[in-house]
Amino acid sequence: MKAQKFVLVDSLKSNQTINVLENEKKTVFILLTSGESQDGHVQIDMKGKNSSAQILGVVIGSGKQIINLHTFQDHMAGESQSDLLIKSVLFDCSKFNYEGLIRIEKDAQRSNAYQKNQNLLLSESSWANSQPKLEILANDVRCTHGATIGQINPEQMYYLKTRGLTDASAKKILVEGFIQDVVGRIEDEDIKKKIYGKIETVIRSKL
Amino acid sequence: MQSPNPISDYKYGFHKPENYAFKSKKGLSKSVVEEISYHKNEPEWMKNFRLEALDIYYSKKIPQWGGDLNHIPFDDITYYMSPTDRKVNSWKDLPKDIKDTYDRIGIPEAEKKFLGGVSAQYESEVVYKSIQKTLSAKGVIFLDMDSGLRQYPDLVKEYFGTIIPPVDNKFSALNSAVWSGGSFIYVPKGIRVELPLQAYFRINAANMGQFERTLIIADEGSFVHYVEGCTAPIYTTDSLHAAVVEIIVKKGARVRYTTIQNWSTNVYNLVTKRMRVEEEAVGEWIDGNLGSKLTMKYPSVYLVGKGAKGEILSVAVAGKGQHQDAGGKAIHVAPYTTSKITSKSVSSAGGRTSYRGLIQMLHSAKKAKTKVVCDALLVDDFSRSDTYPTMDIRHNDIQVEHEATVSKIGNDQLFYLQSRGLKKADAEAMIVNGFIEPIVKEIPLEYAVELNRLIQMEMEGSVG
Repeated sequence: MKAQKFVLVDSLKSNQTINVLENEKKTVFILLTSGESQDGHVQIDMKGKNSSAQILGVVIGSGKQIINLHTFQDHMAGESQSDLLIKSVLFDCSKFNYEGLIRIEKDAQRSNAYQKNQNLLLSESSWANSQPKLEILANDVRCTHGATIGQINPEQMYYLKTRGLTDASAKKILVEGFIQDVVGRIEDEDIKKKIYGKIETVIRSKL
Repeated sequence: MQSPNPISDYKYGFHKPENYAFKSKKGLSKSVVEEISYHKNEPEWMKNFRLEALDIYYSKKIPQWGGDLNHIPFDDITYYMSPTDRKVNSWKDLPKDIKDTYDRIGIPEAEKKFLGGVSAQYESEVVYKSIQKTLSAKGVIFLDMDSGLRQYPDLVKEYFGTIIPPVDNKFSALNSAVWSGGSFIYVPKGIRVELPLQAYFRINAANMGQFERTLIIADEGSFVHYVEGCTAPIYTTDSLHAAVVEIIVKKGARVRYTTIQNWSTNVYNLVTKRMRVEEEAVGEWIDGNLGSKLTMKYPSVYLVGKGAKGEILSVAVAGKGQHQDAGGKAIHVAPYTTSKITSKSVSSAGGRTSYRGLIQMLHSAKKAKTKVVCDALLVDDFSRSDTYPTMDIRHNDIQVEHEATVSKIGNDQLFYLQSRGLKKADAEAMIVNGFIEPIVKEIPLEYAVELNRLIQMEMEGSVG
């Protein structure tokens, strides 16, 4: 099998466009763990027939950081597929604004698009703002999106603590599991390890 | 952009003759507002309220989000008419297709005459009087807004404009300046109104004004269900409908507000609806939008008391040349508040539906929970569906879920039904009716039946 093309976006610019052409398969990973406030757009243009994109994202916010992320999955050609999963873990007074748009143009019949944004708020003062949007101009399509915002599930915490884990280590396991769900989707093992290592360092420094 | 007044295109449309006792000049000005207030013989504070609102209206820009509002003929609108002495049509003169529509939807004879302009008032006087009697024995007030202001000025003054102040948006300011008609309801402490209160029971004012203003106050522990509108098409020559509905649900009370609207396709329907829900109280909106050229309506619940609960059910059907921009908002202010928004939309024949919603959880809303579900159905390949939700969460001890799907009518579903001998239009209507069923089952039976029949007719039209 031909290796998937992998694009890493590790800082935001006003606009970054990634084109996905006919029969092409791409994975885009948005990794925002630097601790700096940032603002930007990531646009994925599904330009060719039978193109396919996986868009993954991990955002870790801390301090007084503000992150504004816009994503745009623009389906211009038929039978194209895009699948987005972006998760954030927010510490301290950090704030994450996410706005994601899926647009299926008239000529992009038989396309599928998915979008999921999950946000974990780890402090009382953290904020999340999520706007998952759909604009569908073709009818023979399947689109879903979902968003959740919440804290660590107290039942899961309780379960781990009954197994003898401390509060801190239980929390760490749950947060890492939350992130693992995104990183685990990377096919290339080397890249997966590298990215996960980077995230782990940041999380460990916070928990 | 279509011409804003395609009267002749509206297949259920008809004219109501104009014969008004008082009618303001076309267009809006300070003197028009003063004239309205003078004509209604209002107290000084209401006149000042109107004039202040007019200034706010002038100072605000036309919103550039949502639908296209740049073609509303503001100068060509008559902002006030007193609805007395309406000349009546003869039943025979009504166009055949309207009579057919009424027959097929199954509207009762008396109501048909009212809707067709044959009888100036729905012949509900008897019903209304007996209902009024039971209501007033319990201390319930159910009047049109103008009479409410005359008879209960203190109560109106205390609450009017407190939930939706004129500064809220351009159209709430416009409504505040020129409002007329609407309902005024007060339910005393601990009183449960078992029968739904329906707008068309009121006999002394037109029940669907252009700038109607409704105020409902449910005192502690009370319950009321208010129903307005109807599924049958309403024809109006006024191209702008900008209503304001304010509801106060006090501690432990419950209010349900059901609207089904089917304006003719020349109408801009821009409505601000809001409920303030206090401790352990329940506020519910059931909102159905069928007609109009453009509807922008987002009923909202402000959950300000501990344990308050809000629910919004929204159904939108957009046909040819229509844009339904509808949804709901829940603002969580107090702890342990819960909300649920369910939206179902159907786009056919080139129509566009947009779900637009807001969930906001303030820092004080600890342990609050919300769930939003939006489903959209696209009937053909030149219609459009959008989803624009916003979730603004400022605290971590909460739970927020949102999900949306957009899909077309399944070919396998159609094939199955057609293989059982159903015509394509019937099969489509059956699927669409099944799709919106979770909401339809919450509305009063007679409306639900009419709604199902109306969708059946729409689907026949879309196949040609």
